Amino acid sequence: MTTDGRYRWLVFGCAAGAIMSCTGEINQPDSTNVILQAPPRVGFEKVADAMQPSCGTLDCHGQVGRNLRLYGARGLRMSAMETSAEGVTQPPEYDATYAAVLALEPEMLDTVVRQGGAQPERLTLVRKGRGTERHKGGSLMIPNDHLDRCIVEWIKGNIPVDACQAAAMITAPGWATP
Amino acid sequence: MCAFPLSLSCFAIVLRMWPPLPARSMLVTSRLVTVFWIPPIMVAIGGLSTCGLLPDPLHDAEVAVLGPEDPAVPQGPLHRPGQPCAVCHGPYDDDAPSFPMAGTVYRDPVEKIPVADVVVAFVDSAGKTFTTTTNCAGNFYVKANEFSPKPPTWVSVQTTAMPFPFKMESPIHREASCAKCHFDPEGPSSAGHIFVADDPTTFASIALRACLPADGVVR
Repeated sequence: MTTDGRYRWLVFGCAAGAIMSCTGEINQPDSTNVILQAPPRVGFEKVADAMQPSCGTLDCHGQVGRNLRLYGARGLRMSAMETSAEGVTQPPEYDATYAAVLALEPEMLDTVVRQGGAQPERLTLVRKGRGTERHKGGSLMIPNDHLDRCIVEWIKGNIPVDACQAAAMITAPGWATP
Repeated sequence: MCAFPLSLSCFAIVLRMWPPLPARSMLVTSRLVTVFWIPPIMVAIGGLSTCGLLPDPLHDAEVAVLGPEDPAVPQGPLHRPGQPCAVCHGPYDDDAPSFPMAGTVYRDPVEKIPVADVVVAFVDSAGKTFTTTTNCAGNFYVKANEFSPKPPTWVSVQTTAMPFPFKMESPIHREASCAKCHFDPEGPSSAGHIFVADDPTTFASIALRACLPADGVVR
């Protein structure tokens, strides 16, 4: 058999194999909707306020171009009538921030929530916030500091109000707490 | 399941389509050599890009938006007030000195009246502080060898007419240009330009002065 003939059979054989391996039954996913579990929306305002100064500033996740887009009174606003210089965070902004956090990794979040919040570092939100995964913004929280506790406990279904409020009021070293 | 035989088919077709070479050993060797050269070439291209030897269309577009220099103002500390300084004075432009922080300060939230001699004070997350003052164009800048803040960084502005500093409520995490977030008009993604007072009764007490030769001198 000539070299050309061998190549021809090789191509034909691989194409046939590809076609045959693609035939047959394709397992369709279950057609019923799967409801993913998520941390609570009730009380999320405290978590959003905690994330705002560390994560949601205009130069970070308070920008429309970010994968995780956070809204807040001193960051990105939803309404064209609002500005980043004044006002308070509005309910639709809290809703949008909640949706944004959930939409990051809905399946993994579901897994973590179903397991009681165990191993929260499986979530990119936690790894990047802690700086254990490459993050342009660096490390914004240390395990068990105020912001970390606020987020991790919220994922478990609790809202540690004191930790979240402390994280929301971070200020410069040496400055009085506002 | 389909990927492996399909990709093998494609690879075989590509092999078959390559021009014939005199001997099978040379055929294999030349194609292996070609494959081995691809990663170093890609690394070299990446290196050229990082070194600024290749054009960066995104950065070029950012610079173009700023427009030309004002012919009445020489390039220096007085130029381009209110513009995002670090677009040029940042890591992507080797022609201009890099500033970890720079911006412009005005008198009030409405009028763009620059104020000289405003004390701009920075505190970083490690507690390190640095202060500088604005020139007659309202511009201030921080040189990299003066202060390299560990983010987040907090900032305040104060004039001699004010008994207390105006503190920025939220910290700065990664942006060196104040004007990236503080631009006009105020809006859903902008806090408006930086000002030292928002009480009209104090405006008159804020001294405005003409430019002195020292204002245009590079520190």
